[in-house]
Amino acid sequence: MTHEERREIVLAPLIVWAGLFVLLGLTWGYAYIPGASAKVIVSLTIALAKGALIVAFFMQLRRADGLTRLAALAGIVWASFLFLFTFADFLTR
Amino acid sequence: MAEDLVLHEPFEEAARQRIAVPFGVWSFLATECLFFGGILLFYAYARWHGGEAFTQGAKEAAVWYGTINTAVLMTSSLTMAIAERATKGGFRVVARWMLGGTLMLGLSFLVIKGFEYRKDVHEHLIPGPGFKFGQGPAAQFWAFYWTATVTHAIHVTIGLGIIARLLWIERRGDLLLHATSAQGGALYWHLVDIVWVVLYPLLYLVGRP
Repeated sequence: MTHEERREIVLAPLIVWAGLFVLLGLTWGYAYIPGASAKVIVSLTIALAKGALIVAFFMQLRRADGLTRLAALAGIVWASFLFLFTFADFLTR
Repeated sequence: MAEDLVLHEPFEEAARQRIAVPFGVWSFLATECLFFGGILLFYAYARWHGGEAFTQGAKEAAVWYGTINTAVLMTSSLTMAIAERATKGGFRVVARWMLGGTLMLGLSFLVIKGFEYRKDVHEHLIPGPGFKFGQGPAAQFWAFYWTATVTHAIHVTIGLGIIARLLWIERRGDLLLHATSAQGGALYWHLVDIVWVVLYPLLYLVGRP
């Protein structure tokens, strides 16, 4: 394994993994701060950040072709409609 | 990069298979997004509707089991990512060890989950007769807990089956020719990790003081 290959195969995923653990520590710690504001929003934002790291780097979506990105985007778009229309109903009753 | 690839029906050339596999798996993952989206929608509604009584139920969730399992699953995503890249790069031994590591971490996740379930059952946290909190929003939280975690555990089990198959192909000696299979399996395993990453704050952190 050359230096370049080692960086690509082992080191790059290891850095992402370290980032995920930092975020896990953050979200866990913030949940225990008494009286901290917007706990749900903070914890969900961190969860989204973790998800984005996994999607972009582990699942390599940032290097994927347009067709694959479109398929990935479709899941998010339709799931958003599911929430949008449901709460458009519930919140306006 | 290993150039040879075992072709699957209906592909006649490797280039097409290399494009079609991630596209096909991501299309499937989009449907998974909607599948778990429906389950999460129930949570969003029940929490909005149930308010404080809903989070009262969440206080009983075992945060240590949840946190350790998050760490275990995130690490299994790391080993899977390395395994997939090693397969594509032609490093068979690295791929074998990393797939083995992913399998062990996935099994560890299920074992830890099993201990957590035992604790939950022992503390009467199953909605229905004898449930700790009676009917109401707390029961809805625990209905979500069981539905979401069991569904997720089934996904983990399917993922372990896929990894076991990849290890079997490796044992047969031609894993490097199945780089697209490793890629598809890895994408699925990462999605299972993402689902848990989203469930973790919803199940284990909302009830903290």
